[in-house]
Amino acid sequence: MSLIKAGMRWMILIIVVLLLTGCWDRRELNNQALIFAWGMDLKEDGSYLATAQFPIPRELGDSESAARKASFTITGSGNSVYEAAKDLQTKVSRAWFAGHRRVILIGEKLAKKGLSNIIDEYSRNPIVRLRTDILIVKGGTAAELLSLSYPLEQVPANAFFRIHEAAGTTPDLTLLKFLMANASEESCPVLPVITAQNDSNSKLKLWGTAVFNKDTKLVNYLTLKKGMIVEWIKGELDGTIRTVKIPSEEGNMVVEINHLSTKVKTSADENDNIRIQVVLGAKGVLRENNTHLDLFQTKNISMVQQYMNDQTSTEVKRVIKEIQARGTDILGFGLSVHRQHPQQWKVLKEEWPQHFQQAKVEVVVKINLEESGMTGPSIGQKKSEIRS
Amino acid sequence: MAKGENIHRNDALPEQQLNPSLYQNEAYLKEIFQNCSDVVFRPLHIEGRMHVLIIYVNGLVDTKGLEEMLLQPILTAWHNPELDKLSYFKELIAQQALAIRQTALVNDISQIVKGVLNGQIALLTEGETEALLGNMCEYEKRPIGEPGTESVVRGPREGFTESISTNITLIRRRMRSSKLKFEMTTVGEMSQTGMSIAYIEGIVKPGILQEVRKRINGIKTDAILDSGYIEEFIEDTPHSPFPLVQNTERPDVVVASLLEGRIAIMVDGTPFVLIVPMTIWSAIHAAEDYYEHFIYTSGIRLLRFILLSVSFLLPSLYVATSTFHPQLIPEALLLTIAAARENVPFPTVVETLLMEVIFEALREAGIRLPKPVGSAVSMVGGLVLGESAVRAGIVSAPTVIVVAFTGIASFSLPRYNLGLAFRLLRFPLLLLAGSLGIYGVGFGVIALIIHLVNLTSFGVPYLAPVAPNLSSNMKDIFIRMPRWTMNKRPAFLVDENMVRTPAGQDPAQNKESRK
Repeated sequence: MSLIKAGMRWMILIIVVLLLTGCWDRRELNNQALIFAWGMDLKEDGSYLATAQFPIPRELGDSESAARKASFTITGSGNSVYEAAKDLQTKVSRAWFAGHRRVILIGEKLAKKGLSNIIDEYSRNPIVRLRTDILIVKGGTAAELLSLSYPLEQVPANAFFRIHEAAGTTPDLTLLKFLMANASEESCPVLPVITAQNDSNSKLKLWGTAVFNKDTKLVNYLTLKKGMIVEWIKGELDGTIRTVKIPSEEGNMVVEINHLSTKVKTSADENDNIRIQVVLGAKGVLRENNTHLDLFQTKNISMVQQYMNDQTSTEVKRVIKEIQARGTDILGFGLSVHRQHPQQWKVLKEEWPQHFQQAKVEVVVKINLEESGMTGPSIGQKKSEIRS
Repeated sequence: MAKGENIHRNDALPEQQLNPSLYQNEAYLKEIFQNCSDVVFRPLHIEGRMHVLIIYVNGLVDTKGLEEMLLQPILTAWHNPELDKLSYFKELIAQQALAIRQTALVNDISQIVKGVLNGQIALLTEGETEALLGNMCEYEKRPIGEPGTESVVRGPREGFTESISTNITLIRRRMRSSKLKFEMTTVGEMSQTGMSIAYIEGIVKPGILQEVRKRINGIKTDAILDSGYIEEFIEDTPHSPFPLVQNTERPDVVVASLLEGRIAIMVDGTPFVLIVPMTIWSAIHAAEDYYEHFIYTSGIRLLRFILLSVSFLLPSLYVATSTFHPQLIPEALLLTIAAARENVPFPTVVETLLMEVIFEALREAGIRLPKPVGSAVSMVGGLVLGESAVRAGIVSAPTVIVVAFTGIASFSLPRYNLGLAFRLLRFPLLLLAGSLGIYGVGFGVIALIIHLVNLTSFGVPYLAPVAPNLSSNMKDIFIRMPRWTMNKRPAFLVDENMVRTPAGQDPAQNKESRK
């Protein structure tokens, strides 16, 4: 008897505790507007313009209505990120929920002014997921891009993410890497760049990489090709292709390279002169041969390999020069100096952008051409033209 | 015993010695058995005078045997002058020893009454102050069939019946050892139900055996109709929803448990034999686990643990994640759920509760109804309710899927009574999930684990050997190791005679050594 009484007393106590708080932060899915993509722009008057793209669940669930538009965008403005977001809420019938926001687009103007304000909000707010893809809109505004529709994806927001993913990088890590580089004392952050194009079907194009300085201001853009070399130097690239020009021939060769490796050796003398040696390694597979060369011949293989290494190292050097000219260390050289010469780094870090600009960089490329495919000479060439 | 709490007993008859007059004895007994139409008084009149009176309960006694073995010899010897003497009948019965198993001479009427009610025949003669009780008990029994609650694909198909003597035979046939003991006793002041405590001497812990005897002897009630009555009287923690006494219909399970040092309690009139002490793992293990290959069994056991968690947690996790933590659901799935929920008028927690109640109702209705009607119920329930509720937009399709999967998962537990516990506890957990989210679910699970580790069955921890951890006994919990590696009895149940299988019987090793 007493046990039952005690049990009842506990039950009532627990129920009262649960009910008396009066807070029930339960929110049904059909009372929420899920944000899939978010855009931030700078307006003429210097205030922020926030754009949110919401999927329409009703249109998504029904297969018959697939032809209809399954998402819509709404904008709000304010003097800060949060103000703009709150202004946006006044135009949406349901409480918005940003826990599933995978894509954030940032207009070029805002990127040039600096991202420090918005980055603060994104790293402070617990609802923002760290696995977010942030893209810079080259030559346009985020609001424009978000209002475009994309035929392959019901919710266009997925297009940004998937285009980025298909390019062979991990879009999930974009925000995290940006925050880490920004917080480090060695490196400068980068972000991917997307742009609008005038194609009737795909209006989007992944353009390349945006380079930021330590004040999170957009400095310049690198094309996709240059961006890949940067990633190779950082050791983040899995594979790419190289086109090799053979001076004695008219055509060229295309080599797919993978198993990429990077070694950065640094040295600093008493006068703080910094020398950096970058050794890039890879394994190559020949994919296209538009020349008259017979690749069953070992000497031809080694010739192609020689040209490929020379041309690649020239190109890598050019990219490094271009980056050095801006003084933005996005290559991770500072990190290598810090790790390899921790004592000298204490002095070097004060003036690192200058040191980075003046560093003498030596590039060694070691691509091993391991496969030439199933035929030696190109099958499209006449026998008489084939040179062994 | 407090005043007013005396229960009615049939041994409350005053001691009454037999009278030399057979007519007086007959009158007295007829008064006791007044209106008991199944009690037969069969007087034998020889030369117009009653010499012998036979009393028995119709249906409890082998009537044909009685006719052949007793009545016919008496009638053919009617002229014998010793017909008045009991010693004559004793001799007669001794000659027919095959038909009548035991005899006893009694002189107390209350003992005659007790004997007759237990299925014996009483034989009274003129002029004697003693009566002869002969055991000719035989009654209708259900034949041995396949156990309904624990069927197997591979393994013995015999199940217990309602007759305790048949059940004892079934166990004895599997265990021809003098160490296997059956202690008979009776419980129930009016029903006088036969009970047997079975154990293996030398394996069972004397302390546990003593505790079982003590608890069973402490039972004072009018009648025991099923072993479930006993279970409620001897549990350690009667207020727990978890079963602390295992029950089984399978003799092979009983013998296997006896060999692990457990004790079986058999009750006459029910095919369900109780096994103590019980651990939670024995409710998750099926008999077939030991007859099928160990690799397959280990996989099935892992599946069972997954399904156990599903049956307990899935509805609460669904409610908690979809209403409190949508960021935990992948986008594509979230959109599907959101689309399905678009027109549903109820909150998810109410919707899930509603479906769970409907499902439980279907299940309950299906059990109680006769079989032909039962299929109609599942038709109405499955098709009409499920399909049209979703079409009408009263519940969302994901909720129906969650509830249906939960239901299927809860059927996968081999023992019904543990499934009942989780079936019941799902509802408070669902309410916690609906009010506090994942935090509430965690809260509920922690409370459940605290409760489980505190439970004991006859002093043995309910979660042994996982908590407290006895790593040497883990070979038969989450997986089942091959038989030649499980060479010892469970250490939490047995102290002596530990070794079951001597070491060195790994067939792979033996193959090496034969070369």
